[in-house]
Amino acid sequence: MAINAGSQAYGVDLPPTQYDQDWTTQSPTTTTYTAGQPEVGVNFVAPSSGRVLVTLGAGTRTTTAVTTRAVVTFIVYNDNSDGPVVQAADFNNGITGIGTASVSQYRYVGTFKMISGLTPGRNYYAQMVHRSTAAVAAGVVSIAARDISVIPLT
Amino acid sequence: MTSIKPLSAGTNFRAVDFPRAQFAYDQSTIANWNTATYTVNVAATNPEVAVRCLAPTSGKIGVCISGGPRNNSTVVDRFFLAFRVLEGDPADGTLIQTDDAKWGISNTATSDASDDYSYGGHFTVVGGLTPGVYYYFQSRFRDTVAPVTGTADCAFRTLMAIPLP
Repeated sequence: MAINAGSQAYGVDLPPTQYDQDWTTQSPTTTTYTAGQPEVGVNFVAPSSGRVLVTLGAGTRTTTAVTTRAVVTFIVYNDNSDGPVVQAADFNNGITGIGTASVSQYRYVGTFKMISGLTPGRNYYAQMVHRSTAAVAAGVVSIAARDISVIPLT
Repeated sequence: MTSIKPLSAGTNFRAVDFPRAQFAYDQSTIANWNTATYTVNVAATNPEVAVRCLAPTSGKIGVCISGGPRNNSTVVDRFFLAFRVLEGDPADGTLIQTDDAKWGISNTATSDASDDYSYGGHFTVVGGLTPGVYYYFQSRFRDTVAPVTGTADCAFRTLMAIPLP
C-alpha cells in the first residue's frame, strides 16, 4: 500500500522510551545493594523483539585516601520491585568509581547493556541500585547523580 | 493539514519515524584547558562538535556524548564535557536544556602528579521535544579550576543524537 508524501504513521512497535534521573547525593556504607532515596527507576513495556537497551549514568567519588569504590548498576523485575527478578544486580553491568590512594573528585560517566528474552507486551521495572565495595563510614563514598533510560530495540 | 490513513492488517510500510541519527566528532586533543566557563571550540585547533537532529513523533532524542578527559598535574582539576540543546539555528535558537556535567562526562581528579586519560561515554534522553522540529545538540566543555595552566586535557570528543520511540 502506498502512503502519500507527508503522511504520518506511528507503528504499534515500539513502545515508548522511558527515563528517570535524580541528583540527590547518595552515600552507600555497605556492600549490600540499595535503591537509595529517592529511588530512580522506570516501568516499561517490552517490544515485539523482547529486547531493550538499558542505559545508566552516574557521578561517583571517594573522599578519603582509600581504594573503596561506589558501584552503580540496575535490576530488572517483572511488573514492579516486588516482582520476580529478570536481571539481577551485576557489578559488570554498571559503573564504578576509581579507587586510588588519593582523594578523588566526582567522575561522571555512563554505560549501557542490552537485555533480551523479555516477553513482548509485558510490563517490567528497571531499578537503579548502588553499594560500596567495602564497609565505610557515611560520606566516604558518594554518588552525585543517577540516571537511567530504557529504550525498546528492534 | 496532516491526514491519517487507515492501513489494513498485514500491510507493510515504512513509517516516517524515525528521522536519521546524527553524529559528529573531533579527534584533536584539547590541551591545557584553563577556562571555567563552557566553551564550544578552540579556534584553529579544536572545532565545534555538534549535530542538528529532527525530533520524532515521541519528542524524545537520545544523546550519547563521549570523550577522553584527564588531569595531568597535582592541581585537582577536572575536564567537564557536556552538551546543551537549542531549538533551530544555534545563533538564534531558544535554549531547551543547559549544559551540565551530570548529563555529560568528566575525569576524576586526584592530587597525584599524573592521572592518565579516562575515556568514557554517557547516554541520556532529552524528552518533551516538539515532533518535526529541528534541535541543535552542541557539546561544550570547561575545566573546574581556573585560572591555572597545564592541567586539564581532552583527547577526543564525540556527540550522537538518536531519535527514540
